[in-house]
Amino acid sequence: MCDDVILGVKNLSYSYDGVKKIFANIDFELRKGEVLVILGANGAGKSTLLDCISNMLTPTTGEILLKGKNIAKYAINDVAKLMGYVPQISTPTFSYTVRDYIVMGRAPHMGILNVPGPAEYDKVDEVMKDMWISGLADKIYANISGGERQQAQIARILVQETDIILLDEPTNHLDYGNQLKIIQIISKLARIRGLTVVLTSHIPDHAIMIDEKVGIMDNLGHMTVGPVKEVISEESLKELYHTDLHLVYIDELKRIACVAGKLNDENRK
Amino acid sequence: MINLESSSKSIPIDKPKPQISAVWHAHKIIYFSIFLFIAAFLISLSIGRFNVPLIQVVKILISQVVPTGMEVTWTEQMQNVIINIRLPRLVGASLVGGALALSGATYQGLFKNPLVSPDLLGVSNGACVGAAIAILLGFPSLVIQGCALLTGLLAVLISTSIPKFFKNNSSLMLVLGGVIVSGFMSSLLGITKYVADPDNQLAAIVYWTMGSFATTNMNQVLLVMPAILSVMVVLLLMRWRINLLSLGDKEARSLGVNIRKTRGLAIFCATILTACAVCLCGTIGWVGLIIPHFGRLIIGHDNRYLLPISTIIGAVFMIVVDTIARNLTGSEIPLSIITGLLGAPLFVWLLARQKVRIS
Repeated sequence: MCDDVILGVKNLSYSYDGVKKIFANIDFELRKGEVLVILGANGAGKSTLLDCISNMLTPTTGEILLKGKNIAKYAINDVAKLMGYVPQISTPTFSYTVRDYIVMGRAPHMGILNVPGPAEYDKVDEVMKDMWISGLADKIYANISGGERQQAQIARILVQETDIILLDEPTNHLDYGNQLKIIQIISKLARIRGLTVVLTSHIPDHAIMIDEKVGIMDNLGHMTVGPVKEVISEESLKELYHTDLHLVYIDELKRIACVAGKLNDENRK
Repeated sequence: MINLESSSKSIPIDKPKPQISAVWHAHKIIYFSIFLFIAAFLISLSIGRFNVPLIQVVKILISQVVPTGMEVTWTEQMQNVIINIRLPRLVGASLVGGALALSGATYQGLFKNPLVSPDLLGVSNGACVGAAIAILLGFPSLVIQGCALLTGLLAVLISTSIPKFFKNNSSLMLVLGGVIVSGFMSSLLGITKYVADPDNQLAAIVYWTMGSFATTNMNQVLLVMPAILSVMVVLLLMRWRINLLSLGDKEARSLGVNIRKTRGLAIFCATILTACAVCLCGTIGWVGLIIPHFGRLIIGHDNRYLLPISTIIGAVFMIVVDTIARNLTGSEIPLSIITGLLGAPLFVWLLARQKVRIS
């Protein structure tokens, strides 16, 4: 294995109660600044895969390597220093301000009995300024819009200062503009800050726009991983979503785009 | 600095440094509540069937700390009433009020549910069973307290073992464990009442389950004070970790929090607080439920400020309740009656103010 592999997933399988297979034999390697977009139908096991990679669930077989070392050999706190995880948007029961929510990202770097002080808040302010969301600082996290909440979650992960970030459907429930905004932020994080990113999505265009690695997870729990140009094709997407769709080359953008076919019932396979 | 903004539109900044004013505001409220606590404590010391002027109360207290160089302007009876009768029960009331409120705020944060009270895991019902059995067996009051503490802790131990038995670590399973144990302990308490001698034992059990400081002395208070204060310090130190736990298990774990250990330690501390409070004065309802709500109304949801403010307001509330209990009528009124009569309407008012969505 190459030394510069940040996240390695080897022969990973998971089954609930050892019986119900969710996915099997998943392999991929990600280096600094690489992005993997995982596409898959509802219930294919994308979130379970992220739960395994983020050490929330223990895989049935296989291993996850963080900087070449098995994740099981790390302390929970040390995993949190290397890898940040944003589950699908959740609203906390209690109302914290956005600034107080984001500062929680500093937890892995602090002692168990410490509370965040000016140094921690300075980091939060810096990240919020970078993301141009300083105006949210004093607002209540539960009351802001879905798009703003997603940006706050990403800010929390940036404050965590990890090498790897995992995002479970970061564009879920967002309007089209906010979806593109989040994808743009993620792409910049990888290109400019060199973060290694794994995210799940339902929109093939997200993978095409980021133009890095893509993993297509089928309903049998297998995942094909590779560069966008090799993995994404009309056939692979039709098979994945069981519907008629087309990949159209757009000259102006110098890239392909995924377009749905006609809304006729005959088109459904 | 890397600009991560994707479009030219940014979110406008309302205030230049909002956090500083928010922190200062929270600190101001905490300082004011400490002042309120001291005032309530001194006023309550002076009020009673035998009134002692406030200035004399202050002088008597100072003379106890700095014994020399003060002219004695008070009678021996005044000193006896203040030092031997009212001081122990007010110290006890402050400790119990603070302990129950802190315990309640901790439980509410841990279980992400603002409608949870500190006896969620069966500690109060468990303690009642122990006390009732000790009363049936005719043990002295110190043994009754010891039995209450032990059975209270035993009840929580059983509650926390239920999720382990089912190999399910979710909060919901723990809450269900508490419901099962509370119900069971309640039935055991019923049995002890059923077999108790109706002339004196039954009355003693019922009186104990309604809470009172009438027989509290300084030795009893000093016995539980180190435990309550040290556990309070631990919980107050880990107050920000409770913020992290209230995010949910997945997010907290992704932030490096060892959920099992952190939640276990917080539950252990909150349980010790409730058990110590119950063994000192019997069971007292409402305090652990409504005081954290009141705290949230005045200082917000952040446990960094909510836990300290709940502790102080809990102490003030208990001082007020105890003052009413010993002054309203000729005989002592059990504390739970007053906390219920004050607590129920207060809770309705708080819910109306907070507009809590109960779903």
